[in-house]
Amino acid sequence: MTAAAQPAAETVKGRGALDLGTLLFASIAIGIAVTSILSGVGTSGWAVMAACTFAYSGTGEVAYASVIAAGGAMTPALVAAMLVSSRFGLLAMSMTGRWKAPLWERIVVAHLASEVAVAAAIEAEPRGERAARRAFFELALCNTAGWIIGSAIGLALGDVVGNTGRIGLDVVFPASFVGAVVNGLRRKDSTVAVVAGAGAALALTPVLPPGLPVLLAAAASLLAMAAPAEMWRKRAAS
Amino acid sequence: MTALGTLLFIVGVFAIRMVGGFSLSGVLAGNERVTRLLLLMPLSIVSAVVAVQTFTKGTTLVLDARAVGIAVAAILSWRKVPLGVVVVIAALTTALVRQLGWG
Repeated sequence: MTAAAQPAAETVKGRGALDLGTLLFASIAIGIAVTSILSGVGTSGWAVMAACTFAYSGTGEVAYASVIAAGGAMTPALVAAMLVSSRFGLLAMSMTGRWKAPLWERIVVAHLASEVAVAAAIEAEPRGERAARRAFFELALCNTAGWIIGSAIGLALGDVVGNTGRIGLDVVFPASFVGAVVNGLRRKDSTVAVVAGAGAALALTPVLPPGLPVLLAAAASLLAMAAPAEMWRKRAAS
Repeated sequence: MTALGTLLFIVGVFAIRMVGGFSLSGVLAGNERVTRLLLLMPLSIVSAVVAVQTFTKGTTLVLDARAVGIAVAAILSWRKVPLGVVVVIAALTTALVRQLGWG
């Protein structure tokens, strides 16, 4: 991932084929991992494909499946999935007004506002609105295309993958956007946002149902507003 | 996931996204403090998601092989290694640590 700190040498240049190709690969892996979890609780193939294409919430699918796997009913499973997916409302909100867009584009952006795409848009923003828009769509389309392909592969593989943990597939999802987190550590205010967000989520996990800790951790960014908006090392300031 | 469950799941997540994407009025969206908050908020959320996916199982805090994989991913990302390489090495590291019998 390119840092926001880098000088604006290439103004609206997109990401290299290597970066996008690797994201596509990572998204396919996520698709396979999520599909194997969903199939594990007896989800039919078309439901898996519909969920990954139109709901586009991997953590929501996993939350739903984990409630069903624990013997829960549909309603608590849906509540868990909605709670876990609630952060997408805030991620969609964070994309408001970043560039001028017609209604249909605002709907598409709100729908595609995943962690990795929003993080890329924010990183690209110092290089201008067009760079932010391009970064967002490049990563969003790679992410969603890869995920749909991965889900299809996951269905085809079936039980071949077996225990996803054994081959480390369970870290593919968080590893795919940990880059945005470590990039946040380059600036003072975003460091507070990152550290307080993670701390709040972990502190609340034992006392709240899944999903709520992440939703409430968004409030950690209010704390970050008090920190100066500058780099830790002045030399790299953009 | 049943047919009804899938449909409700899709409609629910879509509604959440649209409420978020269209709840800010134009005036607020142009406000400098709001803009800055909207830049910081996703970082808190993304960081929280990584923390929860790495250090928790259900509602308990755990330290297992995932932490090693994500730590490696964090270091590689800091060094600007391409995303796909980060993801593959993170998965392999986690798998290796499990093979060695931890977590």
